[in-house]
Amino acid sequence: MEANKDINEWRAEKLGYVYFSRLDDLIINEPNTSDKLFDYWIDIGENRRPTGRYFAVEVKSFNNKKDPELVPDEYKNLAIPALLVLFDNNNDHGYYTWIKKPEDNGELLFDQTKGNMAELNNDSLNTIVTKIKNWYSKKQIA
Amino acid sequence: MSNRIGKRGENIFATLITRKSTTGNFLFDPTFLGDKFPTVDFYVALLDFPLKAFFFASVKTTTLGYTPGGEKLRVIIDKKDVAELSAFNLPVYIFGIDEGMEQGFFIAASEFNTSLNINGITTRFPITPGNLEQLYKEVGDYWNNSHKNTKFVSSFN
Repeated sequence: MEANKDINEWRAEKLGYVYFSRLDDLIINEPNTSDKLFDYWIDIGENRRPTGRYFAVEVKSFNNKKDPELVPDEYKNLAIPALLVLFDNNNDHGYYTWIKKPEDNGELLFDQTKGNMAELNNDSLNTIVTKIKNWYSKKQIA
Repeated sequence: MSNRIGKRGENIFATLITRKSTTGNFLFDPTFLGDKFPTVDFYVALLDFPLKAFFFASVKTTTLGYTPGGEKLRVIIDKKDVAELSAFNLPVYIFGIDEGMEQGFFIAASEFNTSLNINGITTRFPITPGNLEQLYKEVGDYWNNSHKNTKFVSSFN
């Protein structure tokens, strides 16, 4: 076993990869260091080529706790969209909430309350990606 | 097979092999071996076992689906690879991963006819909590009796 491997967290990360890799155009980058800010940096590609439209994903197992710990302040100044994703290792269901939420007006909202966890599924994955694409489109116009 | 499909298959395997047992425990701890091990992909340790016990896993991912009747997952394994996998004097299993359905099936590599390619992995042994418990017992029994130096025999073939 790898030193200090927490199989709950490790498995949740793998589930994160499995979920996000369902969408062909998502190019998933995993930081190699253990001291990482996020688990995945994902580029919304086109025809599987990177476009620079990144978003960040932090993955945790929720171990029957529906209420995750607050998102730390260190994410506050992040300039790209970011998500917190939770997986239940008992049934492999996923849930998400925005850490930095892309708004239609081009702003990014930092949300520490984490009150609104939504189910992560194929529909919500597509919604997330569309929202981020729109945000990047707005940025280009601005 | 594209790198993307292969990577996805490895991650699907990792989540399937670490499914909790019917009693709610993790049974296995997989470690990806990387490109230096061309034949096997994962070293899989038994958790909460009194001895160091493990098996090797070769993971084959497919987007081709199943044979008519659903008896086999369409995975082709070259006879050279078959010979290498069956040569191990340790428990080795081949896991076929259905990339689209995110499910998998497994067989032991020990009983293969090494003169033939493998055309498909039987769907008799899906990666379910019940079969994982059987797998844990089988591999555990092997390591409990490994001092007898007998050939590994599997019920998953």
